[in-house]
Amino acid sequence: MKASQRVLRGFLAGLHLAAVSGLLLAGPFVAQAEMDLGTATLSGEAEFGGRLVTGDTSSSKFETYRDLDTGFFGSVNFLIEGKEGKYFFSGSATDIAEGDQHYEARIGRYGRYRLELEYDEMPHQFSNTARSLYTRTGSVLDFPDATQAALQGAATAAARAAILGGALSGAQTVPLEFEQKSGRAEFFYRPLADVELNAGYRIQDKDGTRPFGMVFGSPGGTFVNVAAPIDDQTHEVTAGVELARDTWNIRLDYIGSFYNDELESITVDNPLRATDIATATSRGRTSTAPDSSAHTFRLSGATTLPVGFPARFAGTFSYGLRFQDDGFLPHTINSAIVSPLLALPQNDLDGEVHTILANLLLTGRPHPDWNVTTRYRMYDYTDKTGIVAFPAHVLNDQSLVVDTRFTTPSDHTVHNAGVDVSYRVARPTTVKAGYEFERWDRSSHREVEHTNEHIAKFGVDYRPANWALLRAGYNVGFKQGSSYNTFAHLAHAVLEEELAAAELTSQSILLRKYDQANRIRHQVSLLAQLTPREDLTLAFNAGYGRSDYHDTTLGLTDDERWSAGFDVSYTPLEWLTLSTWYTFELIEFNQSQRFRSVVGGVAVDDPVNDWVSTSQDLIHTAGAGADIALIKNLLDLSLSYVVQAARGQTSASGSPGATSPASDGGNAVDYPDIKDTLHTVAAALRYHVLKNLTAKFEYRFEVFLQDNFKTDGLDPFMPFSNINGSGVISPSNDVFLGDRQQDFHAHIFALSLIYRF
Amino acid sequence: MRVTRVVIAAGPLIALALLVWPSSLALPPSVSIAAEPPAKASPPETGNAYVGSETCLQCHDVKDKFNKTIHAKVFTEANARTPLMLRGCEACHGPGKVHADAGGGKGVGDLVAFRRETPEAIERENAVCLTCHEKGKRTYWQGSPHEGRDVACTNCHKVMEKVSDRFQLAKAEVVEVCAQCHLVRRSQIYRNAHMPLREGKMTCTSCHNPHGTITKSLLPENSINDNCYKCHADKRGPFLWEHPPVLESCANCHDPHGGVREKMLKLSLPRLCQQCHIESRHPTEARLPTNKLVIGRACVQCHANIHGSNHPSGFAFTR
Repeated sequence: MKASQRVLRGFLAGLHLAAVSGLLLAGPFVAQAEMDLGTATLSGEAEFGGRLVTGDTSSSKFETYRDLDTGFFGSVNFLIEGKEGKYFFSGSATDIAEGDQHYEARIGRYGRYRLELEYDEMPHQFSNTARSLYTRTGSVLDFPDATQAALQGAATAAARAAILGGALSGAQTVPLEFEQKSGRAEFFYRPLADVELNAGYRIQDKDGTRPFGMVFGSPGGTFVNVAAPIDDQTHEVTAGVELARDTWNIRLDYIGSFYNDELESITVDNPLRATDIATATSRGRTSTAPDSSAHTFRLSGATTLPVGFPARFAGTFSYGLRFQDDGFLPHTINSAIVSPLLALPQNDLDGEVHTILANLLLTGRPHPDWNVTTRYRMYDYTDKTGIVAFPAHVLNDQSLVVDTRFTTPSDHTVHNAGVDVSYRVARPTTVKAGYEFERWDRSSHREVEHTNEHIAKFGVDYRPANWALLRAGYNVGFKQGSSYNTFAHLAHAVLEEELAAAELTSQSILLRKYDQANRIRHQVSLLAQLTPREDLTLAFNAGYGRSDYHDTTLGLTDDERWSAGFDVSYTPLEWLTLSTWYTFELIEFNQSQRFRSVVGGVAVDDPVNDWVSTSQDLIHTAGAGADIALIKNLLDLSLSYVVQAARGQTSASGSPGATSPASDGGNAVDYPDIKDTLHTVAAALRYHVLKNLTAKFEYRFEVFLQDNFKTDGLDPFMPFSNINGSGVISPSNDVFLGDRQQDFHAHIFALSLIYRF
Repeated sequence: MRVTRVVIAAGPLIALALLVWPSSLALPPSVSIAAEPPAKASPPETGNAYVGSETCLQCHDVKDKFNKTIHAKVFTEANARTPLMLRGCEACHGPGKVHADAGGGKGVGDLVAFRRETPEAIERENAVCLTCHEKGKRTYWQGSPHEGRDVACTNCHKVMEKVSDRFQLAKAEVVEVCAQCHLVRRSQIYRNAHMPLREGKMTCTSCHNPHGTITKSLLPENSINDNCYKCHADKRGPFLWEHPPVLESCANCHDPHGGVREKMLKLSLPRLCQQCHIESRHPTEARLPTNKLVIGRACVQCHANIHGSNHPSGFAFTR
C-alpha cells in the first residue's frame, strides 16, 4: 500500500473513530426519553433510503464527477454540544459508501479551538467507450508483439493500415477514469481573544488512467493514444499565526506544497515497429510531471490610520520558493540510437524559482461623500534555474538530431497600480471613476519584453428608492508593448550561428501572440436589483466586452463577449414561492492564419495562403422552480427545472482565389457545430409524518444530448483521418482510443426517511 | 471497491442507528442552549443605554432561530472573549434603551437594523460586523470590489438564523449566495465542461475569497496559477522546457468557470494553438474536420506534455 493511501485511510479511520466514539459515548444517554445526553445535547439529521436509476445511463458523462447508482443511500449530520455551551462535536457524512462519499468532523470549544477533519472521494470519468490493444504493466504499455512484427514487415502504408485496422477491431475496453481522494486535518486555536494560531495538513491522491498520446513519426506524423496511468499525490502543510487588535492586525502564514508522482515515466510501444533502428523505435518513453515542492511565506497586516477621517492601510508581502530536482530520463529508449552527444549535461534540472509578492492598499473616506482607494501590487516570478544546453536530441525516439538546444527559464514581473474614487453626488446617485495601470516585464526570450496597459474606469450607481439599485459601468483599456521580436525565443534556444537558418521556418513575422499583443479593450456592465416588495426580488444584469488586437495581422485579431440574464423570485402566498432565471452568453474569437509550406528550407510567405477562422459559442441557460407547502407543516413539494443549450461554431474560409487545397484555402471550411443540451427536472415531495420524521419521495429526470464531431465518430482505428494539406486521404497508421462521451437520459427515483434528532 | 466502501462506512452508520433508534421516533427536536445571560459589561457613557437581551426578547420572538447560530454560541458568558460579546442583541444592534422605552417601532432608537437601505446604512452595518471580523480573510475587505459596490455583509450572510451548514450564509449553498448577483457564473456550472460545482465537490469559495484578497479576481493565492496549483500541482514545475503562456496564466487557454469546448478551453484545438503558432507546415494548416489533428484531442495527441516537459528531448512537449 502506498504511503499516501495509508495516510488517506488514516483520515477515514480517524473520522470513523471520531464518529463512532462520539455516538457510542452518547448512546446510553440517548436511550433516555429525549435527546438529552446528560451533560450534553444531541441534534442532527439522518436520511436513509433507496434509489432506483433507470434509462440509458451508460454514458460516462452521467457520472463524470459522481457515483449515482441504484441502491441504498444515506447521509447524516449531527451536533453534540455540552450543556454549559462550551464544547461541541459535529460531523456529517454524505453519499455514504458511494464513490463520491464525503465525511467531515469538527470538535472543539466555541471561540477557543477546534479541530477539523475532512475526507472526500470523487470519481473523474473521461470516457467508458475507450478500447485499446495495449496492455499495461505499471507505467509500461505493451502492444501485441505479433502485430508489431506484422506491421514492421508490411511494405506499404496501405498494408500497414490494413493490418492495423484489422488488429484494432479486436481492441478491448479499457477504463479512462481516475479516483481522487482528499483528506484534510486543520487545527485552529485562539489562546487569547486577539491571537489565533492554525496548523493544517491536506493530501490529495489521484489514481487511475487518463487519455494520453505519444507520437512516433515526424512532426504531424504517426501517433498513438493510450490509457496512461495516473498515480500522484499532493501534500500541503499550512501554519499561521495572527494577532488582531481593535485597530490593526498582523498575520504570518506558511504554506508548503509537495507534489509526488509515483510514475517517473510512461513507456508506450510503437505499434509499427518490433525492433529498434536508428530511424525508428519500437517504444517511446516520455517523462511525467516532475516531483516538486513549493514553500510560500506570507506576512499580511492592516491598520486604521490616524488621519482625522476613516482610513485604512493593508499590505501583504510574500516570498516563495519552488524546487524541482527530479532525475532526467535519457534522451531516448531507442537502443539503436547511440551518440556521445546524448550524454546528459546534468542529472536533473536543479530547478529553483523565487517568487515575490507585494500588495499595498490604502482606502479612506476624506469626506462622507467621497471614497478613495489606491492600490499597488507587484508579483515577481524569477526562475533561477541555470540554462541547460543539449548538444543533440532525439526526435520522438526515432531520430538523432544534432542541433544544440538551450532551455529558456522564464521570468516575469507584473505591476498593478490604481486608484478608484467614488462620489455621492446626491442621495440616490454615486458616480465612480478610476484608473488602473498594469505592466508586464518578461524575459528577453519572450516576444515582447514590456507591456503597459492603461485602463480608465467609469461607473454610476443609482438608487431611486431603498428597494432599487441600478448600476452601470464602463472600462476601456489600452495595452501597448515594446517592440515585438518574433524570433526572441528562437534566438535563445538555438546557437547563434544556426539562428538565421532556423528563422526561415519559424514564426511568421506578422504574428502577434495575443497574450503580448497591443490591444484596446472595452467592457460594459449593467446591473439592476429590485425588491419592490418583501415577497418579490428581481435581478437583471448584462455585460459586453470586446478586445481589438489592432496591430495583429496574423493571430487572434479580436474577441467579443455578450451576456445577459435575469432572476425573479416571488412569494405570492405564504405557502408558495416561485422563481425563474435565464442567462444568455455569446463568445466569439476571430483569428487570421497563413498556411506556410516549406520549399527549399524556406517557409513560403504568400498572402494568397491566408485563411481566417471564427469560433463562436452561444449558450442559453434557464431555470424555474417552485416551493409549495401543499398542507402546511405536513406536505411540501419542491419543483425545479434547468435547461442549458449550447452551440459552438467554428467557421473558416480561405483568401479569395486561394481555394486550392495546396494553399490550404480549400481546407479552410466550416466545422460541424458542437452542440450540447442538458435538461434537469427535479421534484421532491416531503411528507412530515411526525414532527421529527419526514418521508421524502424524489424524482429527477436528466437528459444530456451532445453532437461533437471531434469525438462522436472516434474508434480505435480511424481510416479516413489522415488527410494532408492537399486533401488527399492517406492510409492511417495512427491509433486512437475511441473515447467518446455519449448522450444519456436518466430517471432517478428515490424514497427516503429523514429523521431529525 | 463498492463493497469496501460499504464496509468502511458501516461503522458510523451502525453507531448512529444504535444511538437514535430506541428512543427517538416520537421525540421533539432537541432544545438548544438557553438564552444568553444578561449583559455584564459596563453601561454606556452617554445617551442611549444597554437594556440587555431579555428586554429585546420580550417583543422580538427570535430566540429559537437565533440560538442555532454561531453567534448565539459565542455571545455567552462561557465563551465570550470581549465585553462586547456579552451584550447579546445589543452587541450588534446597539444600545436599546431609547427603542425599548418608546415601545419599539421601526427606526426608533437609531438601532442598527441591517436593512441595507442606503449606502450609508450599509457602511454603518458593515462596520458593526467588522468590529470583530476585520482580520484573517476579511483583512482586505475595505477597498475590495464588493465593498466598493456597497455590498452588505448581510447580503451574503444571515446572522439571525442558521440557513447554511457553515459560515451563516444567507442561502443554503455558497453558489446560491453568489448567484444573487453573478447570474452568468451560476449558469456556467451547467456547462458541458465544468468543474465539479454542481456535483457539490467544489464551491465558488474553493477558488475565491469574496471578502477581498491580494488579486483582482479575489483569488486567495498569490497568482492565478498558484490558485490552480492547489489541486493541479503537477502543472507547477519548474520544468526543463517551459511553455511560457502556461507559466504566466492558466487563464490564457482555460476558462475555469466552464464552457462548451473540451477541457474548459476557450476554444477547441487546434484553433486555440493556432492563435499563437504560425510557424510553418502542420500548425498553419486549416485542416478538414475529419483530419486526425482536429478530431479527438487534436494537437495534444502528440504534444502531450503541453504544460511543460522534464524530458531532455521534450522541447516540443512531445516527450
